[in-house]
Amino acid sequence: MKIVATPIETIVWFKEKDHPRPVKFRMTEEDGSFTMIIVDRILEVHPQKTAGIASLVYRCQSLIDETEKCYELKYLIHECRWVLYKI
Amino acid sequence: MFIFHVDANSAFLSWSAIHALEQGHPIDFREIPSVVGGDQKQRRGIVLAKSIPAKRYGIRTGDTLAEARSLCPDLTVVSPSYKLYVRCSDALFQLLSEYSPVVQRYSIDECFLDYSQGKFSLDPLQAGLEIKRRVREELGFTVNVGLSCNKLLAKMGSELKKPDRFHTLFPDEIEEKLWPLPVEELFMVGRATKRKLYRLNIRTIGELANTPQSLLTETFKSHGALIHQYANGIDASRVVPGKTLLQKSVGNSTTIAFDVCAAKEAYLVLLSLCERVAMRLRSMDGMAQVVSVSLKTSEFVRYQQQHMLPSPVDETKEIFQAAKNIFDALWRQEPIRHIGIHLSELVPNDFYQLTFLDPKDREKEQRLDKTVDALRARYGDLSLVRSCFINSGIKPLQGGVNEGDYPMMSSQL
Repeated sequence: MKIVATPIETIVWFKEKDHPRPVKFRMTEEDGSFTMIIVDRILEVHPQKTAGIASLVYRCQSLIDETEKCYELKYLIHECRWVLYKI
Repeated sequence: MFIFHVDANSAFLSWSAIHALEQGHPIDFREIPSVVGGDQKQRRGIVLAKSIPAKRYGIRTGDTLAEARSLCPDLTVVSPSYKLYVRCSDALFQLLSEYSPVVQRYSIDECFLDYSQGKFSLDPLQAGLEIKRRVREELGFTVNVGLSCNKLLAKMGSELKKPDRFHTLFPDEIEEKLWPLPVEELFMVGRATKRKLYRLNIRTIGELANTPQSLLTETFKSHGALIHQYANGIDASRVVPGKTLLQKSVGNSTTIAFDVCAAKEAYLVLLSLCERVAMRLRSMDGMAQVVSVSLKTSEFVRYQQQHMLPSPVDETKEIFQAAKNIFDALWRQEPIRHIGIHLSELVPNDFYQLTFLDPKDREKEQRLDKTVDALRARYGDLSLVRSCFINSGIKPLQGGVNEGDYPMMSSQL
């Protein structure tokens, strides 16, 4: 996986006690079209503080172009923003 | 007594590098010749930090960007981001606070930690290794950790071999680890002291430690006694807990992109610097008693003068008036390329001495400054500017912003 850090629009399910759970997200392609991806499985969530930036990193798995792919989403806590972190 | 000194390795550069990597930048700045410095497009700026590959080209901290590029044409220049540095520094401070309640933020990239007051679950050696590992894994940059029984030795210890190392430097290790080092490596031995010590044929810390103190005090006065003590690993300063340090002075300067020949233009530059420096002074809740102005002409001749005010001030207007008076006394009509203003003899702003000659509307002026500061903090520095800067081609606020106002360096342990 490579770091891409692309901003994404995300639908998130905020749970009572657990970490918020991303349900699906979409990103804008270069031609302006959207690609929507449903988050099938969350394999792992861990907090990160690299460079002092508090964030939650989600290792996820989804069916993209008919192949199961692993990727990471990141929630930047202080900015309240989601990015596609690694793919 | 167990004191730790934790020092981030090439702090600005590695912080910029990890931030860029996190943003998806393909190259790690730490692995290519790169420097953190001002904006080359604006024809100014100096090297604030350099990568290890850049060091191999002979680039030194403080070189101008043009000099650095002439040494290494493929040099990557990264603009500094003070906000990022303060955030990284805060994260480091927070992590260290988990180990002891007595943590002193010594500068933006260095902390002292007192590990002797209270009960700790880890022994000092384990704690040192854990701090080093956790900073690398959790915050993404590397630190050097020094452990000893006083602040000086801890600091000297953390500087032994870099990067990502943990060193101990207890008094019984001084002879083996500290004394063989060149004398300029010692804390408080700078360029000028080094030159004088070399003249006395003192080239290593060990030679300094074994020189009779009387010989040193003759040449260096009290500084001689201090460096002699330091060379012998003697230091009694306390770890002062606290997030911030009280600065001894605050200053801003700017190199102008053109030669300033008219007094009116110079006043504007001076005013723009006063705006910044006064804002910084007030944000520190301080007042200054000494104002100093420095000039550099287009011939690179430098001169400066300072003036002691009858009572401490923090108003932009008063500081500017004082700076203007000094400038008038100082300037000999030659073209100027660099202007700086420096405030010192700082006092806290809660109690201060008034004089009979204070301006009548002083409190009003202070309230105005406070309001302007609040507006600028909320809506940006340029949300409110003085009308004299309109169409003048001179920026209304000049000089770097040390947003956290953490000193980069300090001469006091």
